[in-house]
Amino acid sequence: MKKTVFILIIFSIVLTKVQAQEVIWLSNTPPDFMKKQVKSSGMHRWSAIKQDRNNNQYTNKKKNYKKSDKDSSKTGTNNKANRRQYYGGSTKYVQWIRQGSSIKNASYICLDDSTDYSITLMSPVSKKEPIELIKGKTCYLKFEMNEEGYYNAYLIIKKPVGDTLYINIAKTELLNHSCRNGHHKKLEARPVMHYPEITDFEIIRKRHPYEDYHYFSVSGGDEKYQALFKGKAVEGAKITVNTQKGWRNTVLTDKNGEVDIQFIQDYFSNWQELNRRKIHYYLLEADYTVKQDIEYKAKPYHYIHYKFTMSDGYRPARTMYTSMVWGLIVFLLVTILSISGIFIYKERRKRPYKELEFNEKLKD
Amino acid sequence: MQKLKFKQYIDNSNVSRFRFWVQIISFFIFVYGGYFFIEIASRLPIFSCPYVQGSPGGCYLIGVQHELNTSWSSLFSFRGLAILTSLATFLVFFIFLNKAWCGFVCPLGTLQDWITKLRKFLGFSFTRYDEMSFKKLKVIKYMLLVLLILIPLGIRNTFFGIPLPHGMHTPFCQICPARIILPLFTGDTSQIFIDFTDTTTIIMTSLGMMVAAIFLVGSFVKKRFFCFFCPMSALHFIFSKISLLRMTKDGDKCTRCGNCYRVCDVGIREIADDVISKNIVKDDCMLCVKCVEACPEDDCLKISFAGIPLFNATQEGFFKRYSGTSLTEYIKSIEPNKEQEDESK
Repeated sequence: MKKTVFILIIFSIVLTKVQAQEVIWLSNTPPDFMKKQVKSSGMHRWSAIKQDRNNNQYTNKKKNYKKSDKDSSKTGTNNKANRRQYYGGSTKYVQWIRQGSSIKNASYICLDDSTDYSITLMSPVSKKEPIELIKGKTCYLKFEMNEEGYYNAYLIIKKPVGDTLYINIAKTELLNHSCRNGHHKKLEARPVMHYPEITDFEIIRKRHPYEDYHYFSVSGGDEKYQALFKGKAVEGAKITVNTQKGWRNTVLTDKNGEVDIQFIQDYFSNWQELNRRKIHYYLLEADYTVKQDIEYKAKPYHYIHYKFTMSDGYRPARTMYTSMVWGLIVFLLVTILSISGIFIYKERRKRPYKELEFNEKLKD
Repeated sequence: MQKLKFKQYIDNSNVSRFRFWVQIISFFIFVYGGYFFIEIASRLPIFSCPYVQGSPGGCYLIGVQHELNTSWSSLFSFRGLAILTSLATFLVFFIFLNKAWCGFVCPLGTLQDWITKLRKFLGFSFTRYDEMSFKKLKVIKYMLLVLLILIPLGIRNTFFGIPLPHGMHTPFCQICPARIILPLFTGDTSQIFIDFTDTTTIIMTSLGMMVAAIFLVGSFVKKRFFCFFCPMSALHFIFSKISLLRMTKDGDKCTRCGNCYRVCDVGIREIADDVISKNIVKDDCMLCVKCVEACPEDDCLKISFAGIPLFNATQEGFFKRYSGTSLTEYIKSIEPNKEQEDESK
């Protein structure tokens, strides 16, 4: 009996230690029980709780449009901003807090009061914006995105284990752009923003030279990420990518703190699933340890271990659909040719009917 | 006496009908079995295609291609043992049914039989190869077997200094119609594609699509069209002699009526012409037992398992199957009526 209790205690201690290092990240996908309450929208399928979307904007859409446009023409202001006011406010976006490296199986967790955490939202113009943590059965971050461009949301959790202070930085980079709002701004990518004042260690996704607001990662495409420590590139940081299908790859950053990752698609979708806008999610994990004597809650620690996470999505490669269409074309073409070939062959083998007449008289 | 009656009952029975039901059950198991948590083995002597989501096992050919994609040094080390183990697994299954795996169990074979039934229903005529074409075409399956062994070996090693591209890693699976057609039965259309990764994959997957199309059309006009080119059939024939299930012929009893040749789906002429060989299982045979059913000579053709006779050709069985009456009834029906004879006298 004593032995069993002892083993259980040891097991629970080990389990708590393991959980302490379990990766925490921000996810765009809701838990199953909330799926009906959530609406995904926009080019990037960002999630929002339905009740937080002001429904008046849809019921009185035409009326409000006209009214806002009338006012803006009077005042000479941008009618887009006016329209939003008339609609009754912006949509509030949400990001769920999840634990575990597997995108499919990661649990939805809630942060208790004893957890040391901080949340920050930075606008595309590097301005701090309000963000709140909603607690319930699961926790999620809720915020508005009014400016066009990339928003950065951070959830930073500190947890000491042994002589190391573990800092889990969960980041999400969200692009706020809707073609319905027009393209009055140039379709060019905004510079990548990073904030050493919020987190010492950060991973940023480098923009493609041809990237604009309509850009989206696709499977088979290359993405470049850079690890930064206090704003400077870090060599040898371990970056692991996990995809929704379970593909996992770990790479180390080079001299410039950069890694190239290619999202692979190791399957061909069903024809029934043909959806060019289907988003496959991925999770990026980065580990970096610094030997540093620090004091945290009046206790000394000798190491800081940064665990950085970032999740985003990629779409199926367009070439996949081309492959499937060509497959079908070849299949149908060969079928038609084979049938025609057999038909012609059979027709040519048919011999015309010839009647043979025997003249008995001639025989005599 | 009881034993003899039972044997008589078996010999007079309609094996084709039994085969029809076995094929349906086998097809269901090897296409949907996985959905019912059925797991058989991964080195089966039939096209239990792993590309089918519900497949409860795997075809031996996919396994052997993966295993042979290795260097010479690995091949002659512990990896070689793994290759031998998988061959042994294949043989453990094969030894019981011999080529009857093709005639009774293979889902791709069953599919061809169903297509034949559809053709009959629609009233189209079928085709047979002439003797010359038959002899020439039967070599193809051996060529495919050799290629599916050599190509994976040539990827990791070089033959005559020519390295083979990795895109040919499982060359036969890429052109096998089972990979494309069998998943369709589970609603999976994901195998209909051309892989544009590189030139090799474009060629191989295009060939796959072509073979699938030819398979469907060919099976419609020729019975068991694909079995004639199947490398699994060639592999079966190599090990056919060690199998417990056998088909033998007593040439002395054969009258060369040609019934066996006429009912043969593959069109093996030797089954009628060869009166010397005892073991009559040829490389294209699929042990469907149609020839035994059609043989009207007692014990001319026999099916036995480990020496125990299972199904023999009998005159009585032949008449029962083909005329629907027993031999005695048949003779009675064709005998002239005695009363009529008397009257005529």
